[in-house]
Amino acid sequence: MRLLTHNMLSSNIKGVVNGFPLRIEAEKVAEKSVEMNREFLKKMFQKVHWKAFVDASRAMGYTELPEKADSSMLNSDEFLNRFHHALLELHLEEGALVCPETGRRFPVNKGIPNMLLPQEEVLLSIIIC
Amino acid sequence: MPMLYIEMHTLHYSIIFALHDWAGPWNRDCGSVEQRMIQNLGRKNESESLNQSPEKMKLKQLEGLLGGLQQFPQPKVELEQYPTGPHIASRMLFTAENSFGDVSDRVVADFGCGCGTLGVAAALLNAEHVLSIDIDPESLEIASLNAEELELDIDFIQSNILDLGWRGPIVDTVIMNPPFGTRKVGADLDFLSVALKVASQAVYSLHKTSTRDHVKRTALRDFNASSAEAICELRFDVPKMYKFHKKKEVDIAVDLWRFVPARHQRST
Repeated sequence: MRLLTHNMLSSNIKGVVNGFPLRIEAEKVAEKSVEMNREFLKKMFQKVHWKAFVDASRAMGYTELPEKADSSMLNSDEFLNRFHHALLELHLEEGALVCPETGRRFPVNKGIPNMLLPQEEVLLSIIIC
Repeated sequence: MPMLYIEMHTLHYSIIFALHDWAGPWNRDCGSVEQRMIQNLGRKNESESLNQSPEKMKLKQLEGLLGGLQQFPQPKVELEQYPTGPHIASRMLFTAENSFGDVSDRVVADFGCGCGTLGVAAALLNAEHVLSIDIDPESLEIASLNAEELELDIDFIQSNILDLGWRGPIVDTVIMNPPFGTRKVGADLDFLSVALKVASQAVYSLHKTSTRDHVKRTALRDFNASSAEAICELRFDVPKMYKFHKKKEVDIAVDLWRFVPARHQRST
């Protein structure tokens, strides 16, 4: 799972008010290089939740992203390279996504997060929240 | 929305796709079905593709690559698992890309991806990021092998489409071959409802032709779509896949739809 996917997912437990961002527990991270698409990155920069993205990249062991970013940085190749790398080249292979409110862990195996909730857990979570 | 390539002849595709109870109560709606939007996408696009730059994939190439994908070894009837054949999948994505520009450089999500055919097709047509979602772990395993085989980076998530939480308008295009609601009434429209919330550009979906009026009305009135167009009618040859299929092979008419979601602001 790439961090772009992480940036658009939130906890699906019913009753949770703010299920975003899911905290990442990384056990294994893979890197796969892909060609950089500047126009795409510029478009995504407007859509990505930056703080969640930076925190997620750090949880994956990548610390090169600045804490704060603004669109003037998109003129820098160095910044674009780092943004590209963190957004599209890092893959969470093993670990978990954790609901920020309930602490419920969604396991990630072979790169695939399991976001399924058994029905009774959905009901229980309503009571808890 | 402009209707492209309107040519008035019926299109008969031979597609490995199965549907139970296709001649059931839905078919009573047939009298009111509009028949005006039937067009020949395949031929037009094939002739167009000859003029394209060499690096752009041709329809036949796409169909050929999809033809090599592994499909459900044991389809699960409760999930209405019927494979999206290479013929229909290639035309669906080829149309989305070449007529509307909804695939290359886009973020594309495949809802109920099964063995991953539509998402793979999107990745082959240069979608920048593909996210394929299914509830069934065995399907996802096959789908991720299919992506690996073609060296495509596709993200997979195991989830019920109806339960997943989303943030922000990151997904441009949703593509899907939803359960047609034969086993669970309205399942296809449940998928459509979510797709129109998640997509910011377009939703491509397949629905039974017999439900055309109902689909259009529901999308515009209840799901706040700004447009809903049946792009073409496809005819599926249905092989006998499940025990409850009484005939050896039947035909089912299916529409390829393009929906445009209403412009909306979502919290970030």
